[in-house]
Amino acid sequence: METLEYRCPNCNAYLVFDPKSGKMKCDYCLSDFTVDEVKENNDTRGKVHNEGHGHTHSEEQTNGDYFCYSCPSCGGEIIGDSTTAATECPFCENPTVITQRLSGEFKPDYVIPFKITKKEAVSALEKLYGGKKLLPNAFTRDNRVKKVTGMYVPYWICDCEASGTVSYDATRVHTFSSGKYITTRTDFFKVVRRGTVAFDNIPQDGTTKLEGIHTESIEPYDYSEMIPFSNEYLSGYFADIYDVNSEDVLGRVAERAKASVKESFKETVIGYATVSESESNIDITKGDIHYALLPVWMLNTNWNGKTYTFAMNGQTGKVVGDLPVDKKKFWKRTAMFFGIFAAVAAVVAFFI
Amino acid sequence: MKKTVCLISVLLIIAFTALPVYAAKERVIDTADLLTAEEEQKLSALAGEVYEKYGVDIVILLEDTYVSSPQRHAEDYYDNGGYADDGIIFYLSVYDRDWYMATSGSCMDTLSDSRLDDIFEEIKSDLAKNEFYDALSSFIPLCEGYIEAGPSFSATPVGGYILNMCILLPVAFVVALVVVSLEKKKMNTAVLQKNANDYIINGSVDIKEQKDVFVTSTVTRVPISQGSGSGGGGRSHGGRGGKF
Repeated sequence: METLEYRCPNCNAYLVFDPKSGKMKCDYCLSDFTVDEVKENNDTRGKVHNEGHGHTHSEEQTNGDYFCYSCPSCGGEIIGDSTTAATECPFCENPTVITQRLSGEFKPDYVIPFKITKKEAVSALEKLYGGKKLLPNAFTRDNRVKKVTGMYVPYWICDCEASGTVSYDATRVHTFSSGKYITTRTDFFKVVRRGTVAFDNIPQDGTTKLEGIHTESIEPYDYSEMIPFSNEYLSGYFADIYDVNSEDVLGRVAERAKASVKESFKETVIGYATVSESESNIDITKGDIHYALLPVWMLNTNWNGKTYTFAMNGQTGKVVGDLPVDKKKFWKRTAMFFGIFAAVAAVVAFFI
Repeated sequence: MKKTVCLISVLLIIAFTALPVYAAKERVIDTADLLTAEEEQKLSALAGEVYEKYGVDIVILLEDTYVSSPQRHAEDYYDNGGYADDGIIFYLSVYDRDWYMATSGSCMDTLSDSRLDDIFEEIKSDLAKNEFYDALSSFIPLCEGYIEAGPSFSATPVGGYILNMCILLPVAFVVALVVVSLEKKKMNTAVLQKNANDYIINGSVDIKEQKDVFVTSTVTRVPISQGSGSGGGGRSHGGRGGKF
């Protein structure tokens, strides 16, 4: 398995990508280098380790879902699954990019580098926990906030064009009084809108490791900062390659595009008392599809047999989370509020 | 000549007896002729005294006609007769032996429904024997007694309070449940995107054809309601009624 690591030319410690400066940084001697410098400089350029093929490591296998190989720094065993593209050694935290995984059809077109630091992610998570009166006490006990990880998530970025026709039943109502009667006249209209809408860069995650509900919740990303992919940005983070094909996300992309078409068209149906959609026929023509790695800070916590996910947009800082509810606390708080409202009611009842 | 003198004296008597009654409010109305003029006067005097003391009108309405709703009839009669805000009207009809006592203002408390029951209990036997004067001459003092005593605490206020709490406590519980459920909802902020509006290329929405075609029309006519029939408007009453 071909792997890559970046070394500081000054002290030979590893270099990681720093979200704040946008540079490769050595945490040991605090030197930093631009990504371009790292690419061009032979001393800093990633050291390629090509273990495997007929080597002594019998465990090193890429068949099945898992692989393992020995850390180039400490010799410890690094285990990854079939989609791992960047990871760190669990023993020496040496960041490793598995370049073999990022080649051929799995080489991403684009990447949006991390802009949010781990410190910011941890405090966002603490803020999410804070003030949650229904959160079970034990859920936060292990101080797991520190385990939040920076992950480059594989996305399909899809362009498409929608064209179609949407019909509506609409009414206008006139009410006037004449003599002894109130007269209501309801006019019925058949409204039709036909047109096209073009979409650019609809993102849909290409991984089975994250639920769509979480990746969609932290949208949107700012594509103006999306740049051609380069291995350097992955150093110090985890990264996965896609395990969902682009064809398989198009259904959801079309679903969202259709909803937008309907909304855009409906905005032009104005001057009616009621408008209800009666029929729609929208075709989606797919355009370019790009493969990009987008940054996400995340933490999965298992609690009573269920996984609760915290996810944060690694570029914009938008946070989504689901947290468990303590049933006892739920009823205790309900009782507390009931007590307060009942006391208010007892006073109010005097005056009515 | 004798006839003329007789007529004039009758007219004078009527004038003298009737005038003061009309000058003040008429509190005893006997269209069924169940009382003698003398009895009417005595009862009026009694009711007048009560009014002087407490500002409360006690009205007695005796009729011999059919009304569909004794309660409506009694309440409307009181509301339209220009009586005080606080008062009671006792309606008796010998046509189908209906009775109804309707109370207004403070009398809804001082002459609570349970007290009206007690009052009727006292005069029931007289009414059954058609001894209307006896019944009514005890009716007025009975009312006066309760008016003087003031509202009973066990009857309305506390009863009303408990009733209010019976409604408010479940409301308080539901509101508490809603508040905590909203807190629970905040525990999961994950939602699927509803659309792709963020990714519409600016200005790319191109409506090539729009049709707004008139199909048909329906017309409905509703008579304008004339407001409620009773002149009293939204005035509220308490009361009790039945047959005697």
